[in-house]
Amino acid sequence: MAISLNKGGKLSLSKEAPDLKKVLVGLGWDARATDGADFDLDASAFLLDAGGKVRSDADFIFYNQLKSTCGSVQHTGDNRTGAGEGDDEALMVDLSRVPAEVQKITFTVTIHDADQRKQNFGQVQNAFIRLVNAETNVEVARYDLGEDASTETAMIFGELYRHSGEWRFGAVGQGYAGGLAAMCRQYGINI
Amino acid sequence: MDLQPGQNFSISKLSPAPAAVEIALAWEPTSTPLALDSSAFALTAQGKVRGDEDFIFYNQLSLAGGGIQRAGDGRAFTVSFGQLPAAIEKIVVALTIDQGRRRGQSFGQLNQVRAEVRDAQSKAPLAVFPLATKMMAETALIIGEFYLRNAEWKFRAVGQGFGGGLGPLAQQYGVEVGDDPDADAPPAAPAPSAATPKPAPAPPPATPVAPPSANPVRLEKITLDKRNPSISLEKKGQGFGEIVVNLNWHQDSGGGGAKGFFGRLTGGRKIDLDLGCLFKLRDGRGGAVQALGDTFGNLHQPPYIRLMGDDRSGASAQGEFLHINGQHWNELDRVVLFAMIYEGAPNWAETDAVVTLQAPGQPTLEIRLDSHRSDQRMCALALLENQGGNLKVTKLVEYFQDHRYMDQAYGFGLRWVAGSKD
Repeated sequence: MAISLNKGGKLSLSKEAPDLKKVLVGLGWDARATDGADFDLDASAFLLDAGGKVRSDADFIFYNQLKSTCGSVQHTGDNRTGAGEGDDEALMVDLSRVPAEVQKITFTVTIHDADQRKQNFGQVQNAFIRLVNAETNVEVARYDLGEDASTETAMIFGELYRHSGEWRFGAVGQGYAGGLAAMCRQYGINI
Repeated sequence: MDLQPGQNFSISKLSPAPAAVEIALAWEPTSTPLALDSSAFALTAQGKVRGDEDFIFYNQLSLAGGGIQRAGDGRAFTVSFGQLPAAIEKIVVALTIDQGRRRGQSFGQLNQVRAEVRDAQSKAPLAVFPLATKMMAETALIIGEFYLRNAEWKFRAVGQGFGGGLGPLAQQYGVEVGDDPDADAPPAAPAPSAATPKPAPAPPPATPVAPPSANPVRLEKITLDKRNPSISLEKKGQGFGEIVVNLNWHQDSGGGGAKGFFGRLTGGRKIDLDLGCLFKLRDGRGGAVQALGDTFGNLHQPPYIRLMGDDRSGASAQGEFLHINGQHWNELDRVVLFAMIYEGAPNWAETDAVVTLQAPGQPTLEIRLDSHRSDQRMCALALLENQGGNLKVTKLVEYFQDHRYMDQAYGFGLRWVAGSKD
């Protein structure tokens, strides 16, 4: 039975899912029901060191760089409209292969061309992030972002992080203005 | 606070938290060829209505229990959170253009649509949502939504919509629509539908209305105007049911801090309109039903017409009602509905008055007072005629100094003495 987290909620994976080695991080949202420009949402991951920054641009996993050099994080590709059941985008994380310097993997979703299309997360419905044990296909945890967002164009949905030698998952739900570019700058990506 | 599309704010966290809020709708320019209709959808956690009764619009003015009330002029909704059924977690407020797609209209023809959320009691503005609509191809626009989140009521500005008008909007929320006046093809037989008037040589013949199906929600509304001044409602079996005539008007400036945009009436002064009628029975007897002289009429004996209530303050948000017992329509010959400004300057332009006539199983008829004078107290609104048992409704909107002149104009031949409301 998956654990449902609220904004700010945390979960010890060694306690709740001791067998977990390969995690599928699924992110989803509903496609626009009304007429007009589609929402094109992109999921990305940032591999961060103890200082909360990437070691290099290679630690930014997104639609143009689907796999980290270490191979521990892999993006399964872009879904342009959010149509279809279940996850809209997913990333696979092999926890055992994450380099020791990486303390945290942040999963973000940004709205493509948000400013031009005048779109924001206040207009996106039923956003969620969930963790699935990739080997057993069992859902471990889920965070429904619900209606927390307002005019942000970039959001941290959740994060996997090391704490006292174990992996934890946190439901973040923190939004930013400025889209993917602002998100990248925050983590030390050169764009 | 000005809201952007997508932005939300908490109503419950305000201090003091309003028990009820109203959302007032306005647009620029105020004078537009678009026929704008407002509606509200009361939705469950699944984002759907429980049934058609959760769809509040011009044919259904309030939610059972009183949690949602639509102002008679359609320019505001009042939401009383404590009176909402527990299952209702979201209320979507929308504006649509009547037959917009068919007429090639869209919100792009307006510069701006504007919503103001206020405390229903104090009228203090809580937030304003100005939406630039210049480029919008939509004919149905979701203005915003009140929603329950973690036991807290919030409001979100939306500003998105549909190109296909009220039909797809209603379907989105699970409302069964029986007749979509703006659908691609007119509904299959029985035809012709009165919702698709064809240009006709003057005077245009009254088009018989196709008998409607009983159930799903009827969106059909017919506005009687210059092009289309009359319509004939066909008698079904035992005549008509209870025919409800409503007169509503813009009663004040919206109060609170609202200025300019909402302040259509200077100074927030109230104008009181009285609804009444002159009638003639088939047996030749005639008279008037009106508050003046306390002649409220009777539904069960001649004239089978009754003026409901006696709201002399004009404070009722729903305006004034006059009922006609359609079971006895065959005993009536004709009726002229009129409105009167009893006190104050007869500035009709400021009333923005609308007359609707609803008979069970018939489309809603609407007449707007779209020509104005400021030197006459009486306005003849509509002529109802018994034509072989059918009910022919013709828009009048003609102004008169008093009853006597109006009587002469329509040949009722009544005797008039001065009267008063008391």
